[in-house]
Amino acid sequence: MQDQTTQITILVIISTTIFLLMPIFLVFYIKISIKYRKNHVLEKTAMKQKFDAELLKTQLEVQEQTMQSIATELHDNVGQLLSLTTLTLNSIDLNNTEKAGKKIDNSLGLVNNSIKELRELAKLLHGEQIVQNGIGHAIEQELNWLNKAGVHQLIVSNNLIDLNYTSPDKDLIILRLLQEIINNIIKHAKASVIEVEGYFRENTLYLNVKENGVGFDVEETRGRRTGMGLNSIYKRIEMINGKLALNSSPNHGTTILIEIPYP
Amino acid sequence: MFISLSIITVVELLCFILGLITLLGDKKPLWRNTLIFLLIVCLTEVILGRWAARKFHNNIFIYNIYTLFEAGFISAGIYQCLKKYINPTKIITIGLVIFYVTYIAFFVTHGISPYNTWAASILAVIFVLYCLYYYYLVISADELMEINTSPEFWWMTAVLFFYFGSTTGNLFHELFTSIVIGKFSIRGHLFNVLNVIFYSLWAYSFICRIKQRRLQS
Repeated sequence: MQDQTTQITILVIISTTIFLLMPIFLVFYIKISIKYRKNHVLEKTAMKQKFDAELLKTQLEVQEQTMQSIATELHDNVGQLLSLTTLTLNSIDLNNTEKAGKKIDNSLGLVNNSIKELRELAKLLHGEQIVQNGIGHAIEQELNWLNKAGVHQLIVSNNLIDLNYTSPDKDLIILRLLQEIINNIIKHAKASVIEVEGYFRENTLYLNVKENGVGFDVEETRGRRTGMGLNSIYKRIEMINGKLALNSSPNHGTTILIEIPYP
Repeated sequence: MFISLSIITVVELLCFILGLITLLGDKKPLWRNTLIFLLIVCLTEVILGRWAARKFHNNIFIYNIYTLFEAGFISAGIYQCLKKYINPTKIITIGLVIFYVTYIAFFVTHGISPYNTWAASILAVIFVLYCLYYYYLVISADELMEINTSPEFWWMTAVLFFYFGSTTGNLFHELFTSIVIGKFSIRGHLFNVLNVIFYSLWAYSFICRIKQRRLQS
């Protein structure tokens, strides 16, 4: 009888202990769960901050590129036109009205050309706003500028002009990627033909750039610290969950295919 | 005249005193109700229970009446805690209706003298469910709670500890009362432990509350 009582007592103690321990486990579970979520939120915030910082850097780079283009244009084009205008006007002999009239006409033509160039420059100054009109327009503007230099033969298929979606942050990064790629082509590729294709399919934006330049060893270049800005391109692509396929080998040109989830 | 006090009464009185120090003047319904409830608890334990035991040689009916207040006040507190996340009017009303129906059913069939185990068991189950639901809401809420310093969280945790732990006591009421170890029955020991945990956690929640109020002011 006493054995039975002892057994019951033990059973009771065990069951009661379990009932008392359950809330302790629950509290610990909640504590751990909240801690895990807090860490997750902190990680997300850190990622967001990193993204914002990179975006700001991209914005500054786009601005810098615009300024450089403007400076080059002012120096090489508008400056030359205006110098020529000054020279022409200085050489006018007022006694020779026939020649003077021709020279004034020439000067007027030069001034008109300068105005045209300045208008083009004004458009470029709106480089940041151009992203607001959509990535298609931004790409078009960039390629127009490249075309104007007349160094490369451009084959363009830009199907992004009528794109109905926008993603301002991604657009800025994509524009900067294109600028970086074009800069690399101008600086290193020695290409004569550049093909650019942009299109949108199943929530993905594709940008394909192909050139017939000297090419390079991709692995070796990525390994270098300078890396022609390749690491920066990869980092930015990764930041917007995109993919980049780069095919190049010495003397066989380079093909870059970018895929970005969009918008 | 010296009054001998049980462990439970001592912790209840200590908690009430701490409540008076920390919660007096608090305008939030949860803490006002808690203070009033603690006053009722202390009055029941120190005065009414002893008076009934002397007068009628049985004070269980006092505790049966006290259970009605307990159900009301704890439900009101839970309502205040849940209100932060949802509109708990429906579930609290349903819980109270179930409790009062069970209470009346026991009262009609057994009278007021025996301890109303039906109502106590049902009340414990209902409160445990509310607490688990509260925990679920805390975990799934967008706003992350700082549980170490959240007065509401520890108030609810105290309720969960007490009513979850008391479930075995209510389920095996007869058995637990019949086995005596030392001065108390098993039920007595169990409720001593549960009350110490319950009032300690409430005391902690009061401290969290006064810290919270100081930070807010």
